[in-house]
Amino acid sequence: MVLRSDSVLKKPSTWPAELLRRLWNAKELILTLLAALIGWIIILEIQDYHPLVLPPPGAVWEYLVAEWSSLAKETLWSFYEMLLGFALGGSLGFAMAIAIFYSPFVHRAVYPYVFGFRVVPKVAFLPLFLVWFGIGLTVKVVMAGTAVFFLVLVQTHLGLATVDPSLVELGKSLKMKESLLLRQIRIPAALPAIMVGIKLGITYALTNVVVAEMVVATNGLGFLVVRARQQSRTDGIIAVIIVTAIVGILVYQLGRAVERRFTFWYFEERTG
Amino acid sequence: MATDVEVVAPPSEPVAPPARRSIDRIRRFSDPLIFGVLITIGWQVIIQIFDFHPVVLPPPSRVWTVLSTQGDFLLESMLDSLDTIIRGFLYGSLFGWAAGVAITYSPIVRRAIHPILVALFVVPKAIFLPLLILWWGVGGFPDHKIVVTMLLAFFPVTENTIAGLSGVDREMTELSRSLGGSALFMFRKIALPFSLPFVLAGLRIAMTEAFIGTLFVEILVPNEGIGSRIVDAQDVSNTQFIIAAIVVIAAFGLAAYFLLQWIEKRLTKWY
Repeated sequence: MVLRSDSVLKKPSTWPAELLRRLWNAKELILTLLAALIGWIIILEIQDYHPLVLPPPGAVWEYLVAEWSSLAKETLWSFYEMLLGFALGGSLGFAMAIAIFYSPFVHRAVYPYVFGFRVVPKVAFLPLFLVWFGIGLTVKVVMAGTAVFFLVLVQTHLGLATVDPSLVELGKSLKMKESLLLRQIRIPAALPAIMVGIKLGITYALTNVVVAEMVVATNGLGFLVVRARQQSRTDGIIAVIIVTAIVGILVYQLGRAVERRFTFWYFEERTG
Repeated sequence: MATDVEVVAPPSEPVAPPARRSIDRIRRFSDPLIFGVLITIGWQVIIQIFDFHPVVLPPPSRVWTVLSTQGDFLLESMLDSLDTIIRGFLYGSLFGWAAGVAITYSPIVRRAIHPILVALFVVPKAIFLPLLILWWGVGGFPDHKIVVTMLLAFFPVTENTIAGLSGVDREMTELSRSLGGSALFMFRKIALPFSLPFVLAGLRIAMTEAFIGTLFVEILVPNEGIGSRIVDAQDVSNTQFIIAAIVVIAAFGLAAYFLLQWIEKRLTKWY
């Protein structure tokens, strides 16, 4: 363990100072967002758009306040479906990657098809999945799982195939059995690549859950936006977009936190 | 924040392991074929054993019938979609490239706009569709289909352009400046060629994203294109048509991917 000088020498900063520093660093971003908000108000002052086309910011805020309980409930639904799909697709993708890694036949036989399916938009499968799974929870979980499956498969295989050969040699010279070698050396060394798959996979899962929800329209954020459109509530559409944006960013940050938690050594090596 | 999003593609990714012996070269083609035949036989056997209704899982022969008898219709619908895909891809990647250049060379633009773009990348963009339909409508200009396709094609090109331009060799730029090269000259002769492999890799991702965007809109708001025909088939429980359409989309998706990869290889031999 190398003691890193900056962690010792850096002055401990109090959180208000830290918050101020971060806000100051993001001043241009904050100004842009403020300018967009002011632009929105000015446009409405100049041209008297119907609220159906462009509602005032106040209306969106009121919608957020009035509907917060249903927004929170449907957000949790989407999140739940996303996690189930992620678990399903991720575990299958991981298992498939290991099969591909150990069997040259499976590699040659299956990989071209995996590659082909990756290029097809997953949304094209949605009508087929609707026939097979109906309009319940399953179809959304499967949609999310499909997206995660290919990403985790490709990333895991990439990671396993590019492990430093000297590490594997070391394990072999210690007479490690292949199962131990896989668990103790190959998978840990492949983690940086696997984690990229997991981090991006979780956002893909959310995207596909929302897509499925917009078509099935029984619950979740996708349902809320479709309902707002059917009710001609443009303020509602914008409110749901804002909530979805926040959820998307939080989910990505969650993925990043998981990545940092398991591969902190990789980032320390990279940034020095 | 810029490097947090790992959508930057490696200039080319291997599909199959390198073939060393001639037997490997043969097996690279024979193994996928064997697998494909096994899957088709398994598909047929499963239908025989479990007695699935053709609506749930039609036999491969029915899918083949659709492909051979309605091939023209499928192709025509696919070309309709392809029109949107290509236009959305072109506009989206053009704007994406311009945004990438602006973000790389202007610190203010970078700090003001790049975080918004990065955030936009992780937000499910499908959620914007109702608003885009409201503003651009069906048949308006630009069509909402193209706007969604552009939105999806935009981001990979932006990120890859930034990655490519930021990686330009400093010494070469310094040398050129000391020899009196103008900013425009350096951009054209150094930055552009150096960022090209990254931009082209971004275009490859953007093409796949453009397919996603167009298909998504066509399925959610059916009017024309192959996605809408899939929805029609679903309404009349014509499952074999859905599967045949997926096969056609996959064929075109792969063709577009390999075309771009071929262009990439041709233009970046020196890289």
